[in-house]
Amino acid sequence: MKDALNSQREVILSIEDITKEYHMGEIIVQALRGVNFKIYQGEFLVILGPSGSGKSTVLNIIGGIDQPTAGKIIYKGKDISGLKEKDLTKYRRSSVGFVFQFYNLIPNLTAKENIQLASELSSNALSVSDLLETIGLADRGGHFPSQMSGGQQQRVAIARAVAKNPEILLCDEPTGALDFSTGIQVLKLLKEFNKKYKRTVAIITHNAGISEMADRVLYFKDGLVDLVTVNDNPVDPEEVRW
Amino acid sequence: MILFLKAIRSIWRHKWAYVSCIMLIAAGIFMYTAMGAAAGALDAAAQKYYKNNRLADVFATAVNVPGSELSALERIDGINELQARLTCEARVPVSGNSKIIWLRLISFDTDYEGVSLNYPDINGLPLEKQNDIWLNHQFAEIHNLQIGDKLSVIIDGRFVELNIVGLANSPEYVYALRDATEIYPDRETFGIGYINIRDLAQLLNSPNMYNDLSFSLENGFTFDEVKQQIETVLEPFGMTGLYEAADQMSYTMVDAEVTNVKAMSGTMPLLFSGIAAIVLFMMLKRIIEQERTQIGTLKTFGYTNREILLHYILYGLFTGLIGGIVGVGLGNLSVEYIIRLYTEFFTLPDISNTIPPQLALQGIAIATISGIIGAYFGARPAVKLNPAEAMRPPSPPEIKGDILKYLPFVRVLLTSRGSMSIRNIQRTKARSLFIAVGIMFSFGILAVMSPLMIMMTDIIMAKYQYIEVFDAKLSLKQPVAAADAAAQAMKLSGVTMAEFVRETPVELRNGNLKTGTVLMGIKPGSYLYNIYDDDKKIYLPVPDKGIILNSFTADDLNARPGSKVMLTSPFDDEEIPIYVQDIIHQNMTSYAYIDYDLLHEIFNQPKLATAVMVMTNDMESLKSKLDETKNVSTITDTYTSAENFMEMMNSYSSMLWIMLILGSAIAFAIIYNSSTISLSEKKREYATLRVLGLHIKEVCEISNFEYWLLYALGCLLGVPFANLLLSGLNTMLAQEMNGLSIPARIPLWAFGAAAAGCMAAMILSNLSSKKTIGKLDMVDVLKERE
Repeated sequence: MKDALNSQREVILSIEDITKEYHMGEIIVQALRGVNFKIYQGEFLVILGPSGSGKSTVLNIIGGIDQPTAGKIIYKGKDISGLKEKDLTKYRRSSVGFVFQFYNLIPNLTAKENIQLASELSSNALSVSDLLETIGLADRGGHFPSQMSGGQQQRVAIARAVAKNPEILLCDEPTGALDFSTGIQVLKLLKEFNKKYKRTVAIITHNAGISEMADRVLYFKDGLVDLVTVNDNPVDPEEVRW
Repeated sequence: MILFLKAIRSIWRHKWAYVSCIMLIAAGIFMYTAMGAAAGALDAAAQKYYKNNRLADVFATAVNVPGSELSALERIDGINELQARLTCEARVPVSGNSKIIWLRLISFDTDYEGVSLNYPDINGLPLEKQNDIWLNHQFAEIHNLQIGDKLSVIIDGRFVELNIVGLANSPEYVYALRDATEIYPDRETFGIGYINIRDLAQLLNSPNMYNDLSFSLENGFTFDEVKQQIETVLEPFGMTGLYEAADQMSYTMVDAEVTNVKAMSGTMPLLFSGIAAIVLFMMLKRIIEQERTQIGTLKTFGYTNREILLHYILYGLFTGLIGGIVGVGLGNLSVEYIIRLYTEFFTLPDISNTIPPQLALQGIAIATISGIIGAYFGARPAVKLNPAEAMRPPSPPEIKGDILKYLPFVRVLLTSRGSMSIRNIQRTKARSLFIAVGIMFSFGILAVMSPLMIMMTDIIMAKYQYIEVFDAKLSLKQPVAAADAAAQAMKLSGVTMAEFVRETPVELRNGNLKTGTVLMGIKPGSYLYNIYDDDKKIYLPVPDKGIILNSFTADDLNARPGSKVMLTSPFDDEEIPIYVQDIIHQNMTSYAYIDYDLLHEIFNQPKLATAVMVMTNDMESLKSKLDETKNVSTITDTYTSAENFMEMMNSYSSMLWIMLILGSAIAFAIIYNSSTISLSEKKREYATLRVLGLHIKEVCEISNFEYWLLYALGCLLGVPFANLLLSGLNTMLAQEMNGLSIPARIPLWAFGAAAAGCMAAMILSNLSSKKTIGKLDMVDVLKERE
């Protein structure tokens, strides 16, 4: 039944036999050992796994900031695994939005300018003022990162990531540096983006609680997808507990 | 010990950044030690020479002083010793050499027992036989003359054969200029010869007469205390000069050179070491920021703030010490070469060519202290953190007062990336200012130094093509009737045109400001001498109601056009009022100009000429005829003068190149080091931008825009700085090169060249940044905890 459900949805990105090896001095570390999975249009995906399981590596590869040692990444029918740097940049520019654990806002740009920075890159950008409104910081657009709390900074980081109106929003431990209630606010925002703009959101986390709000959960272990589960009834972000 | 090991490994990890600091410090210490040693050696050798060879305290020249008057001079209160001599200029005909070669013959009293005043260093036999001569070493060497050779000279039109019996150098001619119009010593065309006073008196037919007097003063007496009395005795005998040792031509030049080199050896290392200390400060600040967690860890182990501070100071101490040692090493290698360059112009015995240990130690100390200061200020803030704070990532840099708030129009024009650039400057104000000031220095050095050779050549060309258009100028020993002078000159073979001028030394006074100059009287229809200013504007004919002053003279007198100045001639003590009609700027002449007839009218004298300017198509014939002419004291061949000057400029060109290379190196070192540090600080931001989808080029634009803004600011500041530098250079040149100046305006193209030079450094640095940004590993950078 789950397969039947998935077969009705459009695959936006497909990971096929991806491996990734790192050379650390004389030691070769196998971060991914032949990973296969698909990401569907408009789904809310959570990738779970302990440290060193390969979840961040796969996110970086999907995001076009790292390349696999072998295997294919098919984005909308096109293999992006062998793209040159220039084309990978184009891919990141138009198709992917990133949210980081430590926000990575540009310290000498205000909240509004940080969002503008991304919106200037896209011809299909979302309205900066609407986004500020959505993240609840319309009155703080002129504040610099140093003048905002961690939660506010992460909200700006999400707005910046979605400002380009990307197909996929990739989030690396987006609540990792936040307290519980701020984390919930951030998750609500991600869900809102997923629903309102019908965009795909993929979150990697070691926080199993978050998986309850996902449409689908991928469990990573030792560089492989260990388990895939589908939530028939994903919970509301406000109901998530950890 | 472990901390020491950590320091060594950290330095090794950032070795190229330390190498650039070491090179900056080494460049400064190299200059400090090499130039300081050269100036010190020059000064010490000169002072020792003056003392051992008893350079006189006061010098006087007169036309003819009878021996009977000497006792009156000796009786003057304060005079300790008097030396009376005869001097004359002899022409030296050298076959195959078209230059006019002069030998100054100075009488030597062989009967004097002991060491006389101005005693020469002698190497050879005594002056025993008639017409024996001692020649100065350089002159003998360049003309391949040796002891035992004969030397033919022409004295007052008569050929005289002299026997070279020795070589002798004089403390009065360390810097051997023939007269005040010469710019640098030419050992080929001017030499010194000592000859027995009896022989010279006989050759000049001046028994018991003297024209050159030197005095030593009794302890406690000054020149001013004896000046008036000497003047009173000598004036009836045509006194032409009276000055103290400090104003003696050679002494002044040596003194000016020592002062300038000492000043330069003092300021240049400060500049370089200062820049190195700032670079070191910025670099260490950044390294320490990166080692923040390590500092926290060390503190949790129990290391004290002092121990950690000392650990980081070790980085600066190491950099300074190595820079100092390298600088002293380079200085030691080059000091011999610098001294050799000096001995081309300055003739001094026993000049040392090593760096005194004290100076070397001072150099190393300056370098080490600069390193320690840079490291101390770089390390202090991070070391003060408490351990828990140090273990946490730093909070985002605070932006105090948004500069773009005050520049709304600029904000509208800028993209977010543009705003980032502007705020990056605001965020690192001190570093941005440092970069702008660094560019300003380089811009200034390049703008002044790059056109110098061309400016000098232009001055020479202007002088000989526009002002002094004659082929030769014959200066006369005694003024003659003007009409006769030109007519006699026209009779000389090959002369196609002749004009006369009257040159008279005068003193000018405006209120209580006084200065001396040469007043040139020019006929209204003058063709061979024109008065052009630096903009090639002509000022002929000279107005018949006043005088034209050179701007240097006008500055000395604080005179303006229309000012009434008082003029004192050598013929009369009474002051004559005269108006300044015009003030002109001329770089290679320092005359005041007056209408020829007006000059004679105000002096109430018959119309005379002191020099004749000629055009000739046979210079050789002119020179050979003049060997027989008694009343010509000097022949100035314009072609040879220009050629000599260009030769001297060529010898300076290597120095100019060094300055140009240093100028560019400073720019590159500052921009490169600053951008490397800046990149290291911002790599997380740049990686984020790359993840957002910005191309490498777009990320580079942020950093480039920031640096181009600072470049523009540096260049803007560089324009007044270059003018300031030029004015300093002019002051130095005026002291070292006898009144020569370079144009007060830097040509536009030189500013362009300076901008291009700094731009080259910017582009190199930007390319290097681009390479680093291109190599940024987004995954690594973003997972790093800042």
